[in-house]
Amino acid sequence: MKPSSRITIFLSQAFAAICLTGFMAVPALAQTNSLPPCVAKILVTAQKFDPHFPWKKSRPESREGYGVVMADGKLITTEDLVRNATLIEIQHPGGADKTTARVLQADSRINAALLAAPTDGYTTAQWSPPVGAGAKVQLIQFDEAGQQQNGEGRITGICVASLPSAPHTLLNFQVLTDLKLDRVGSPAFHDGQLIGLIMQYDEATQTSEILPSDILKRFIEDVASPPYHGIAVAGLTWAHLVEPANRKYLGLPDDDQGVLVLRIIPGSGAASVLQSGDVILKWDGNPIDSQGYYNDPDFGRLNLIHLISGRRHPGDLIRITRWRNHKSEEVQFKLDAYNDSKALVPLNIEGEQAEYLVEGGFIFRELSADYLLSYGAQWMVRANPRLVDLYLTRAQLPSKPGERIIILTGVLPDPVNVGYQDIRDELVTHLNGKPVSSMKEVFAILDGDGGITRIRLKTLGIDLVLDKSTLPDANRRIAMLYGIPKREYRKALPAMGPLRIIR
Amino acid sequence: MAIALGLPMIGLAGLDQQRQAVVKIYVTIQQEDFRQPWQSSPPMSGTGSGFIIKGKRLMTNAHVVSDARFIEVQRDGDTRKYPATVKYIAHDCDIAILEVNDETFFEGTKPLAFGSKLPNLNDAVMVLGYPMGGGRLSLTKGVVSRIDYSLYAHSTVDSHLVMQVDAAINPGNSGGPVFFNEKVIGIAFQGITASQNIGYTIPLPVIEHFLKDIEDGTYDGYPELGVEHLGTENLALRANLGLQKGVTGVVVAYVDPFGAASGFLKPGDVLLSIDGHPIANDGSVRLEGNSVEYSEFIERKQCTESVAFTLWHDNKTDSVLIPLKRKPDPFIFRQTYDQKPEYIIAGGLIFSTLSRGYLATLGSELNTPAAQHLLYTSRYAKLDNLFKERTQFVLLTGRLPHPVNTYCASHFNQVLSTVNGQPIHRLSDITEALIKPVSGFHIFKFEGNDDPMIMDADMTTKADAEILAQYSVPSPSYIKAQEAH
Repeated sequence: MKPSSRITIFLSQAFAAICLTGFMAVPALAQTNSLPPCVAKILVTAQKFDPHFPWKKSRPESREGYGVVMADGKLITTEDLVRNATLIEIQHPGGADKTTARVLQADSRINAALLAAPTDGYTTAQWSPPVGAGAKVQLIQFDEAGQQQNGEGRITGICVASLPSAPHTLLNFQVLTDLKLDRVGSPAFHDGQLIGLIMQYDEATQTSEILPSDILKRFIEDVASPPYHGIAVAGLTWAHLVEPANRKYLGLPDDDQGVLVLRIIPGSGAASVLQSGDVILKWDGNPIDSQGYYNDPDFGRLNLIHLISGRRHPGDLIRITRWRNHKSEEVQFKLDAYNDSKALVPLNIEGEQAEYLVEGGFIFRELSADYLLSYGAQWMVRANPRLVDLYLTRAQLPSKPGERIIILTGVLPDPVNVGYQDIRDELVTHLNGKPVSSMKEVFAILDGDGGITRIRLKTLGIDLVLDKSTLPDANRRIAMLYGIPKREYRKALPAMGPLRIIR
Repeated sequence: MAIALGLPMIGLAGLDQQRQAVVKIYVTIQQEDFRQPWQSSPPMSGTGSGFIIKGKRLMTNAHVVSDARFIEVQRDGDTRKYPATVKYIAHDCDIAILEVNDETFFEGTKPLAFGSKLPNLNDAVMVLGYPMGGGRLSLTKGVVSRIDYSLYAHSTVDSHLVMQVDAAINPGNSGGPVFFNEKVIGIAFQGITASQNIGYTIPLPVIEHFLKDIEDGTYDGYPELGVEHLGTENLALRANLGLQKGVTGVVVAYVDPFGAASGFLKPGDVLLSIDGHPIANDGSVRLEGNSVEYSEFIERKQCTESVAFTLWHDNKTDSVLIPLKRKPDPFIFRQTYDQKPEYIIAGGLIFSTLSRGYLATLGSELNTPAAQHLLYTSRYAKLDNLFKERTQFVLLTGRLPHPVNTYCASHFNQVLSTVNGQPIHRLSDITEALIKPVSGFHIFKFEGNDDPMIMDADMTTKADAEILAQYSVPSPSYIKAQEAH
């Protein structure tokens, strides 16, 4: 197995962390006493689906990282390590034996995964009480011979920042350290107790990003009491309210408090009490300043996002102070569970197999972020501008629940589709004359009509037509010629994402 | 060398005749600054080539003399430089005509004659001009490698016939003549970087089209039919269109609202023939023994002419005569030259219009959602009907920092939708909208953004003069006279 030194995934290029950190000198003292053996090596074989040919899987890749034993038979690690795993093995740092592990729960929204594996010969790590900026940190990892490497560090920043593994923001510790960290999932301790897991290390700045134990602890508790609820979201976007003229226009007092509500995701809990143009003055009793910060008792000045994702659960009733029509009023609503499948353009960070249909060589699927990102680092420039724009401007804003974008990714050349073979990356509006806005609707039309014979693209003012009588033969021929084991993939109900629950 | 290649020799006497008419062009240009539209970029100098044609005029490339502030021309072997001016400039086909006031420039010269037809592949051609690598006239030879349609890089959106030659063409050759049998059959104009022995020349038909166009004293440009088509090779598509066996043509898939065909053709119409010539299922037409795209017929016409199609629609044949009138198309986003960018400065905020020149300044900003939206807008303005009632997309392109606009940076590169509740269809609408503030505020709203930009109207007005003085801006706005619609 080839050792992998890759600790970030492609998404980090598109969504860089936005977090300011201070730098302090760190005393580089050698660690003499060995830390408890609560850390296991994790060896992962992973295989992704090809977003362009959704029946195909790419070549298996190998990854290595660490996990920390938090209870008998249970290890915690980062989600990006075990993403798309086909095989997970754990290995004692000093040993050669490998045992198989399985994922109990992985959540890309917070980059955490809980694994089940035999943990004989390990001790259990203990959670650290909350630590603040400036706290000393001990870091460990293992060399090829299984010898423990110890490092020291200091927390230089605590903020809400983008995850290196997904375009989501979350509480994040930044640690300046002299130990060159080369794998994800290795632990960070304070006084021998766990404060988080390494998500990323930047050699140039000697800074690592750490997933805080605060988040991990909540995750493990959530897994322990099924069903898994996931993280809470408020279902709205907001903007700073710093501009004095803007504040004056809204009639706000001159106290530098409040953020402006921009968009409410249709159907979300917030939609019942908030609308575009409202101002949020207080969230869960915490005054919110004009840049969206509040004073957290544990971590200091933090983005209000932490009040939702780090302090609350889906279904929790929260109180906010809302400014509308020049007066403030206390209102309350229930937080929703984060659910990627509600998006117009889902992220599909986990790279789950996309629903698809190959009909007459036409490949239909729903638009998702992983499809666009498969164009590589220059995806914004290389992918179809119309599809990129939809993702960047409307990803979270379906005009009705369940709405998706149906795309024709390309046409597999065959006599049945002569004349259409150069068409690719186009937005599909109608099939057989009926509007389509989800693969569910595509399959319903397929089932109802026995075949797709008319395809309307947004770009063309005419239907592309396929011959119904020759279609079954063509489908067989195409499946054989291009090695397509199944000409469609339908997901079992419901689609991905946790079930919505009410507490 | 020439004998070894089997090419005909060009007589020395003939060469003298040709070299005396090939001139070097010295230009000082000043490009527009789309970020600070009230001023131009620093002057730059360059050289190109040109040649004397009948009527005491010089022909060269449009790109040699675009954005020129001063032009001088010099004959081979002459030390004197003569000031010249642009008489006609055709940005869509990269040709320009210059005039020299001082008649003595033309003394002892004979205009070059144009050939009567394009050479064939492998015919020997000669290129004269003043490329890099020396000061004096240069001669290179080669053969015609390919004749094809290609993009004309100068306008960035127009494609016409090009003649590819393997004679060396280098920077400075631009505008120089290409000879076949001692007659001009092309103008050297562009190449491909990272390629070898590929030089592009503007072939005779494009030159002739240009010369015919300017006969009436103005250059109108190529007509735009504005039709996207789909071939009818697919049997199921043919059956659906009701096309009988043996009937050939292409089906109209999109009609550009600013093209000549708008109002005459609609999606679903099948074009069977053009000016009496049958159109094949892939859109080609047999013409003078060659297979050419049907659009070649439009390409050969002037804006004063018409084109006749026979159509198949509603299960019957029909015919239509389309006048190729040129309509102003604000959303083609052709690269512009010799035109100052329009702008309005209010409260230190710089509003300008979406243009190719502006997009080119974005650089690394292109990876921002706002810039991506602009890119999408520029390419799909017509296809996705993004323009609606607009004649321009108005943007916030930057700010001249001042306390009045400290918090406005988050709206850069966004498309303005309303100001003080009034829709912004063109840049000049801002001026009118700013006259009526809403309860003492100016409210700028942007497309797809619920976060308005709000400024105190009085403070904005007060700050204006101060900002203009501080940043040495000569005028708070530049807006072209409105074109009649």
